[in-house]
Amino acid sequence: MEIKKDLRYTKKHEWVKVEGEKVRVGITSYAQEKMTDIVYVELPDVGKEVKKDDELGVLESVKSVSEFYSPVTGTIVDVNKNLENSPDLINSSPYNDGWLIVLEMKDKTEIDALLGFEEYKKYIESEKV
Amino acid sequence: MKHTSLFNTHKSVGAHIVEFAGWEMPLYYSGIVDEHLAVRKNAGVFDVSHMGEIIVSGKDALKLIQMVQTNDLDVPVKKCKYTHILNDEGKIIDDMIVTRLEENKFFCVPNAGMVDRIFDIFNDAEKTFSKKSKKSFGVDATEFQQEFLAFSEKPKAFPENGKLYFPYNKKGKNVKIENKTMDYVCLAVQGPISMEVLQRLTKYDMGNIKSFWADHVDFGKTCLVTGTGYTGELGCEIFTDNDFGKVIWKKILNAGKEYGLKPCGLGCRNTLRLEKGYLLSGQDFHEDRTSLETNVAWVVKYNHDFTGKKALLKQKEEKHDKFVGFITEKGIPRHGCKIKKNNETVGVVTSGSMSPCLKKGIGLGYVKLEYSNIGEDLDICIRDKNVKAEIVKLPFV
Repeated sequence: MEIKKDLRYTKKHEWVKVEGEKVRVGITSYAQEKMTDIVYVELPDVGKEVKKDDELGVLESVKSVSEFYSPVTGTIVDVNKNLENSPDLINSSPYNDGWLIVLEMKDKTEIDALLGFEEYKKYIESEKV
Repeated sequence: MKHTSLFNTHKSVGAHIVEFAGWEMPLYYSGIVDEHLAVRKNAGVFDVSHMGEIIVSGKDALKLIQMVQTNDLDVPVKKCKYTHILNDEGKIIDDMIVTRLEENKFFCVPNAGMVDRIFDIFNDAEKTFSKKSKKSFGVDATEFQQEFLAFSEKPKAFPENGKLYFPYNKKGKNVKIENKTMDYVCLAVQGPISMEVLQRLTKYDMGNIKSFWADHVDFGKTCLVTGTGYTGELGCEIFTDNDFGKVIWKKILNAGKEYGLKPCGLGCRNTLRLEKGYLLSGQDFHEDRTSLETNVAWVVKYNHDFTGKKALLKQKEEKHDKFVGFITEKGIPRHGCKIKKNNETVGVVTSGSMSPCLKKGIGLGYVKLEYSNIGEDLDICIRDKNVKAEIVKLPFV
């Protein structure tokens, strides 16, 4: 399973890509594989202000329901509308076409608290045991 | 944690494993939706060895089976029947398929999580009818004679002197109840081309395995094959021992490859049964619903006495909830979601998922009788939001 070196991660298996003042958020390949085929996605409204760890929306596979959470505090500025009709993009392209939302950060230092590549790799290894 | 004899085979091909009813079982190999569609279009093979196998045999086998099963199992040899086991209140403890293997031998396949319970129910039933038969003779028998009477129908006379004796087998019982769950592998081969694939593995005419009939088939070793399954597709279930199970699993996969047959996990087994509106033990009933409330009230045959019959006869005359299937406009219904009409709760969802064939949210659940008609518009409460749904005729697909 793929983990990207240039991304940051959360313990709830979101990935975070810093794009200037904004962050793009998705779920990791490990998470999508665990969830199995994703068939329904509920995304937050653009403009919504959220705090770090707030529930942002819901991902449903044929077998289960999972929430995803905000990795940082900020405002939702974009959501991936393609997921409405093609939620399977999360499975086929978790780090690219399957992105979930874009947030404008309130406090950029929050990024530092997120896991790096090595830390996330270790974290999922420990979770597997 | 229990494992089927195929567990290492599954792991070696990268199956995703899930815990289910005390067993570690494959959830999926290639993907739930992919496997689901393979079964609808071509075929799939499932290791369902976690299912129970309880064999009831002996002179009183039929008597015992009839005492606990809602359906009438006084059927021809090799016939399979879907049936329910109820408690005294008529609530469903488990559902299963029973095959009459011989005149006095029944092969019961309860759900994985219910095997011990069903085994106990059979043994308890055996005790009660032993007691009953003592009374039914009306003979003033001694304690010693009663022991025999308990297990015999009528006294017989010795030909040499005409003296009466009570026939009984060596163990003193006329029925044997064996839990053989750990001795059997069960493979479900399902899908429109499933029988074609199996035909390549035997000289036996697979066309003889009709829906809900069983036979012994030589696949290199004689296996019990029943024309049953949980997908609504053509197919059968193969029962064999743990060693040959590994052999035939590979044989089926090899023979089926060119037909598009895939190994399938419990994930698609659930979505496949859901599209057909089949009940899932422990989820669509959990000793909280009667057979009459489900969509398979026909499993109840009143021509024999069985546990729960009295309660059902009473409920028959009353208004009760009805099990229905519905399609949601948006969103996916899940177990436990409330079903509402004009913002008032009128039912509950017991199973739900996205239908891989319809690509829509589908669900099963119980609603008040007056809201159970086909075409009825209802709301399903998903994460505190009401989602529109319409009751449709089952099966969905």
